[in-house]
Amino acid sequence: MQIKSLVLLALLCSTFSVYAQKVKKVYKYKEYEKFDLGDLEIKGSVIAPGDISVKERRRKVFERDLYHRDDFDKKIIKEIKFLR
Amino acid sequence: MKSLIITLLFTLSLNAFTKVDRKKQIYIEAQAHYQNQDYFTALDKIAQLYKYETPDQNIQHFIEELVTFTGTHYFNTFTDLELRKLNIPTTDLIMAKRNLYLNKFKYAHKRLKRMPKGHRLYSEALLVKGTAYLKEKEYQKAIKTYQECSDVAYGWEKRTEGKQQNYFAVLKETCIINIARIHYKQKDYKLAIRHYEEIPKKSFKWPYTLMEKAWAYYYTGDYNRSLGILLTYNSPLLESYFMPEAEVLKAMNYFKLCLYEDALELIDQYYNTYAPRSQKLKSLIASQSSKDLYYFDLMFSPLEETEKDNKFIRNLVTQVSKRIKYNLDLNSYYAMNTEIYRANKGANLKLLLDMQRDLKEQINHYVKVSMYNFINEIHDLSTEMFNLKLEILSRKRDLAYKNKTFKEDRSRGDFRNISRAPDQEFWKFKSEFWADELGDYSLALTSSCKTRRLQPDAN
Repeated sequence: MQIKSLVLLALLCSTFSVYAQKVKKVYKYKEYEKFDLGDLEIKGSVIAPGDISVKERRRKVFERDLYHRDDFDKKIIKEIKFLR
Repeated sequence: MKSLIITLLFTLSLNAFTKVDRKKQIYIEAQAHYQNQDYFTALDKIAQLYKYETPDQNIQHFIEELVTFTGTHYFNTFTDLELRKLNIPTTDLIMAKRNLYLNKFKYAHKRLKRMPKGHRLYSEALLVKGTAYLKEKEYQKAIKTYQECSDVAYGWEKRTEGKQQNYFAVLKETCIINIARIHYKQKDYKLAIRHYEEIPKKSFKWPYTLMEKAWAYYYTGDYNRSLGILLTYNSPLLESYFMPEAEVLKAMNYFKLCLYEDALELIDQYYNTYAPRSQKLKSLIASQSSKDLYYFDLMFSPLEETEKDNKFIRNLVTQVSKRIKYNLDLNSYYAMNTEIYRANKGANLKLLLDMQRDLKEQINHYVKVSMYNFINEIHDLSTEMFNLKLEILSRKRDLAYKNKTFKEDRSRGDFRNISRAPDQEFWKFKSEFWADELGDYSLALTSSCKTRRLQPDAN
């Protein structure tokens, strides 16, 4: 019995909330705007470059893998072959 | 039934007796050849018999004795199985070497362990053993073995004379150089240099150590000393020792000193002189390769004639003719000739002529491989030169972009740039190569690597 009354109460609450969401919508259109371009003013100072300048970027340095000698292992074997 | 078994046993024992008898007979015949100094005939007779079974100790000693006269090349065509059956130090060494080349170090050690300490090939076995340790990255063991090798070889060098003495001297020096190479590999360049300096200037190995020593100085940052050592190759005494790698190292030294113009000059010389000369050599030998034994014959042509065709031929012929292998093979060749011309009654002339032909082909092949290796080396290193040229051009471009130039443009030297050890004396070089000074030169170039900003009116 108790469970039944609880379920009923829950249903009642949900119908109220659905009913409360139904609000009448009002549509408004954008009002007409007028720009006077001649009267337009930009704040700040206007500067023009005096000479052509390019900001120096850090260049990527590519280094080639130049010839190097880590060991003479091949030569050691070659010399044994040169013995007989 | 009984009689059948008896007959069978009798036949088997007869067979065994016949076999033993035959072996004994062959041994006696081989001994007779040996007494007549027909060593090759004797060796072939006895070695063929023991290809598939191990001979007793007496016969093993006999074969070893024969090899001292014939050389080891006879066994080059034997398979591993056949060599193992013979079970003598000479074949153990050959097998150990084969295993070393195949990176089978365990088997190489196994063979070398059997080498008797008093054997004449013991020092060579130690060289092989040391190299096996080196390849296994056991550097301390390798150094110890090479040290023992040089000591043993030195003992033999004092006891022998002539060509044998040269062989042991080369062995001793090879082991010392290999110790230097291990230190070099471990980047202990100063210690490596000290070992390279143990090689006497009169030695056949000495010109080859110069380049390795120059590499060691290069890595210590002493570019002037490295360049000085390499300039030794310009002396008339070392004319025959042109090494393409030395040219690359020279250019690298100039590059490190930021003397780009000098490096570029060397690179151009490499491209304009050495590369075309090597190409010419290649076409020259290719045009002759249809001739049988061309390379063998080349070794006996007068140097003045071969030099006319190509300057590199003289270099190669000189270098090959000083190698131990070539000399040992040539010794065997002459020993065969002696037996052929003596034409003893029992000598197997057909076998001797076949063996001589084989040996000629082996020498021919060896010289051919040496020549093509040289040509390939020049070709390979030209890529390195090209790479270096690109790097120099790239560095020059960077300097131009940064509006900079070197502080001292190609300064030609100053005494303060020479670093000297306490035991080194200083003499000026006056365009003369004195034999006792060879290998001890140093340039005095100033490094140009410090840069300065270019002034607006500067070029």
